[in-house]
Amino acid sequence: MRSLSVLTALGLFALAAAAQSITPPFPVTLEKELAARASNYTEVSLDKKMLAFAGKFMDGNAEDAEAKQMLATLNGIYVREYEFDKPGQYTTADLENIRSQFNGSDWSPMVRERSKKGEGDSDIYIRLVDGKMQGMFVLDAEPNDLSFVYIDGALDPSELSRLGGSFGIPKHVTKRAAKEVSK
Amino acid sequence: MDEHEELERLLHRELQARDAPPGFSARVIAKLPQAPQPAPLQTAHRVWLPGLRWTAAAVALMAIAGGGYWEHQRRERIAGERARGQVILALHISAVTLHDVLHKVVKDTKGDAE
Repeated sequence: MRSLSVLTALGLFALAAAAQSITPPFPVTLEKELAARASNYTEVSLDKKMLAFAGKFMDGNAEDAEAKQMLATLNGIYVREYEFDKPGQYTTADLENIRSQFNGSDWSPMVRERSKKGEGDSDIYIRLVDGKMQGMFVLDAEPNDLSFVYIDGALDPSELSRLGGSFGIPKHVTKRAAKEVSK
Repeated sequence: MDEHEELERLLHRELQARDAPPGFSARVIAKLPQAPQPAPLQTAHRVWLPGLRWTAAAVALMAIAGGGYWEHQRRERIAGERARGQVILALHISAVTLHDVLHKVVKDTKGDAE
């Protein structure tokens, strides 16, 4: 009887672990709906394996080397960018649904901008573990655009800054972003 | 007895089956020419032919394996370049989105201050 309960407990533990492992690292809520409503959209999902794989092919030049160094500490980058033909293709409730996934104790809202219709909202959430940045979520809502970026892993703002001028990212973009994030 | 009957009787007698004299077969076989011995070159072929076959098979196998490896490498390189492109795109969008948000915040903060 005792061994049966131990086995049951182990089975439950294994099930819980399996359920945790298949939890998507990026909030998938509304993705399909938003993509269906969008006239144009970009979705990039790169987990740790993919980042490591891409890193193998990033030895060509100095900018590649810097990006590779930055990627080494990341567990994933997930980017969604939706363009709409007309405003009103998403609601404040949709945005709340997305934000609600970053309300955990580890996450701190760094930037929170709200508009009446939710079509000018901006959010930056930062995940801090032992005082170190371990993740970042950025949401940018415009009437005809909706973008969100989730970077999972140890992120050093100074490394972000170094990417300016590389890969088509203007220098001032990363410089300012790094400055604000590291405040 | 006419001429025809005489001829028939003669033919019958001459064509009648008779046993060969003893030792005839042995003498005939002994007189047959000897079968030609394989030339030295042919002997060499016999020795080398299995070796050549194995070598050819090994070369073919190596060529197939090499081709497979090369194809695998080519596909991996293409997938790697694609992954690199995705990383660059993700970094680009991340940096621009972050910048846009911060720009909006700074703009609104300045507006409020004024």
